[in-house]
Amino acid sequence: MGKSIVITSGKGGVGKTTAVANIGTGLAMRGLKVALVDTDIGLRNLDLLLGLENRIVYNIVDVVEGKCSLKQALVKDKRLNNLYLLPAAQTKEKEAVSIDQMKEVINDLKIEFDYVIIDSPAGIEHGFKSAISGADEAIVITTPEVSSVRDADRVIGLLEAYGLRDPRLIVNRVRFDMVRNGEMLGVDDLLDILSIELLGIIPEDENLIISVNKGEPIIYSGNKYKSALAFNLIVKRLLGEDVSWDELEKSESFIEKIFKIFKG
Amino acid sequence: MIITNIWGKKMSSKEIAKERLQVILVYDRAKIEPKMIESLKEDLIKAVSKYLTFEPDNMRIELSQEDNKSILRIDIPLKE
Repeated sequence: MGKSIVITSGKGGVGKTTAVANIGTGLAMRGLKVALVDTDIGLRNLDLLLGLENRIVYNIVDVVEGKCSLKQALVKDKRLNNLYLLPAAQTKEKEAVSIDQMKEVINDLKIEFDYVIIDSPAGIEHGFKSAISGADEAIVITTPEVSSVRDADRVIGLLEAYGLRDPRLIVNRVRFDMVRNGEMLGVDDLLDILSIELLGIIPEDENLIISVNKGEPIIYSGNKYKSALAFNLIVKRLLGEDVSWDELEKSESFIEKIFKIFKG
Repeated sequence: MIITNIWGKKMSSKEIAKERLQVILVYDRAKIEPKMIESLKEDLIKAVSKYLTFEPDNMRIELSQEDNKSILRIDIPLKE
């Protein structure tokens, strides 16, 4: 029986889907059998980030309506044979999948897969509740902005109220230079405020935009880019490896130094 | 950018963000609007003034969080 993990945030646009695509791909790159579930009915995007948008035949709504089997709806990844996507429907209403139906789908996937990573929609309404209903664990993602942190706090409270204790935090789009200059909340500030365990830190990285353009998760680049390194560290930590927190900032300042040398 | 807060202390925008978040999250978690505490303060001044003498400016109302519980503290120093 596999493990299901929901990635959620409250606020939209903070990097949930990017995190799902990269963490899922990273787990699959380590040989684990992974299913990614897009629960954002009506606003699906995970297919685009994986470059799978032209391969979708059926979706999660078709599965719960009995139009196809779960197996038929799963889209195999382009590169990895052990990575699959269960797409959201693009044209259906948000309530097309009930909470009980979602739970059943996730439980069925857990039988076949080592990891089921669930991409939650923004907001705290039906879609959020159904996304978290089948999850064993939760990851909350935020950026260091006040609005996103406030929403993360609300979501942490709700997760605990729904029985998902001890969610872990990913802080996305961190600019270490701004943190050092006192112009951005640092990870330590966020941990003070939110009282939650840290899972990972992802630095702001323009290469992520390029990877989304191409439909190719950045984690494929190994540790070439700082965001890819960050996702690799998160995957390691999810698998229970002990990872040093300094590794990222060190690598970032290393890259900065190289840049400075080239710039003169 | 360095901004001075109301007590004249120099604060970075990061410190301002942290302070604002810490305050608003206490209210969010307690499901109370900050403005409601203001109204409560006005009503309290009226009510307490009927029985006791005090300086409304010295009255303090503070919402805080301890062990997942919201606590409202009201301090009213009385006139001698």
